[in-house]
Amino acid sequence: MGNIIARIMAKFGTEPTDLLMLGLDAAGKTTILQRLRLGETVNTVATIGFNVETVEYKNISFTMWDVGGQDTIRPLWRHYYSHGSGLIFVVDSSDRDPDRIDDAREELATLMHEDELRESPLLVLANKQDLPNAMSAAEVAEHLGLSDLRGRQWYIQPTTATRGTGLYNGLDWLARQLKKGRAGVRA
Amino acid sequence: ESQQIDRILLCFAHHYLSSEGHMFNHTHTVYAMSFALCMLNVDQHSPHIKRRMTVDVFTRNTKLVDNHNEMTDEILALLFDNMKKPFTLPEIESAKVDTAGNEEEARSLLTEQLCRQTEALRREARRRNRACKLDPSLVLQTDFLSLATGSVEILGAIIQTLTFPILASLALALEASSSEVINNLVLESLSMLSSLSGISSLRLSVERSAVVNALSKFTKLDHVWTRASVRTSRTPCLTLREIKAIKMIIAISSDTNVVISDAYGAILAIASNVSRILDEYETYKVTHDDRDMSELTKHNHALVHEYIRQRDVASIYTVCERLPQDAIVPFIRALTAVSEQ
Repeated sequence: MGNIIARIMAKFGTEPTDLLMLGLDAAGKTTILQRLRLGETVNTVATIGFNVETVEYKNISFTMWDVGGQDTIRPLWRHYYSHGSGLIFVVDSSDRDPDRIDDAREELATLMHEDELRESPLLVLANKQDLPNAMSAAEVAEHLGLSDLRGRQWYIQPTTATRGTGLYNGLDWLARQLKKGRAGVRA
Repeated sequence: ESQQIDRILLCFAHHYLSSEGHMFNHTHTVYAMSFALCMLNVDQHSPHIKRRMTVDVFTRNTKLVDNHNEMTDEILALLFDNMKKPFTLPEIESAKVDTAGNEEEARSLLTEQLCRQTEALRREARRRNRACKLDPSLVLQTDFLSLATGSVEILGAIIQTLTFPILASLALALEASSSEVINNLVLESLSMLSSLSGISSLRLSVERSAVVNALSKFTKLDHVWTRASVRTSRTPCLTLREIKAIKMIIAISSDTNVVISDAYGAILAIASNVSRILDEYETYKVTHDDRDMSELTKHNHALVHEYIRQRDVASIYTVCERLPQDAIVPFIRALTAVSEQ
């Protein structure tokens, strides 16, 4: 019985969620968006501006924005990251250049200080795992200083966006976190 | 790519301040404003956005990044209103498909779009004409001007869309009338079409071939030897229309910058016929006395010599060595086909 109700709920209960996807340039954000896009988007007119995609997964409708830009304009995104929406941070694991790794760590650190993102679960995608010499997920986590994050739900997922490997595992985790967060709000 | 957009907007902000007559005094204001507008465009028009911003949300959020207090509610509300109208240009649409590596598709997309727009314009002109008894061609003209908006990229698609209807109506016009004025007009239009489609960056080789083929229809040189004039004056006579068309074809085909993919057959057939006629004239001149020639024949020979020179015709055959590589094969194939005939 409970199973049936759950199934009926599944039909109607797609909850819209906005996700922000960030990361340095060439980390693979666009590829990830394209890879996750379900089916062929028929007759979409090119919208001048940022890449946005909607992905329906596990009863959650993710609207992902590929955002970038200086820290000073972050408040502009406020409309899209209401409390509890998720954050995806993409890293090019094959780029071992210490400067780039520092840049990524700093970028992430400023994000973690954003007030609106305080409660957002953080999914880090250690992308480009297929390239030789790619850092493992553990190495990326260490470089980014993920273990130092306090009071933050985070998860790191190795991915190869060009083949789609690992992307849905990451979304699985986010979906679970977001449902948990919602249940908490309702209770 | 969000980072790329960011860098472009920063550049734009610097440039904006360095130009005269600007509204804001800080780079950051311009940058933040354009970033906000870029986002707003996606927000208002992307099919993926479920919860679009209202003017209040937009004004409030944008003011959060107004570090120098330069933006007013009025300006922001006005900009918001302006953004409500989508501005997706056909060029951008085609560029999007281009990056997917499919140029042909982009082309047909653009052409289709133009067809739709033209059709809409035509209907609109008809409607307006009915309403206020205006000359529809005038209305169309002004609308076409605004449609083209000075973009060169769009020219290829316009020509591609219009070439065949134009050729068809020119052929009709020619059939319906035998007047010299109409003949000249049609020839002039064909010449214009040919030069337009000859702009190599527009890649209109098919259209250009169609123009050449249409031109070749002007001449019925295959039947020139059985014409009534051959019996009376003993040499073939050409009409002025034919002579002009031949001259134009020779001019088009000697231009090596342009590839005429599949019209070489028609061109070479004409060239071989023309050189035969010219040879005939030469022998006629040698074997006959000037006094034997009828006035008509004399006049015709003079006319042909005035317009067509043997040297130009011969240059069509030798054009081969200057042809781009991908044009040599169709040229040789056409050449052998014509020699067999």
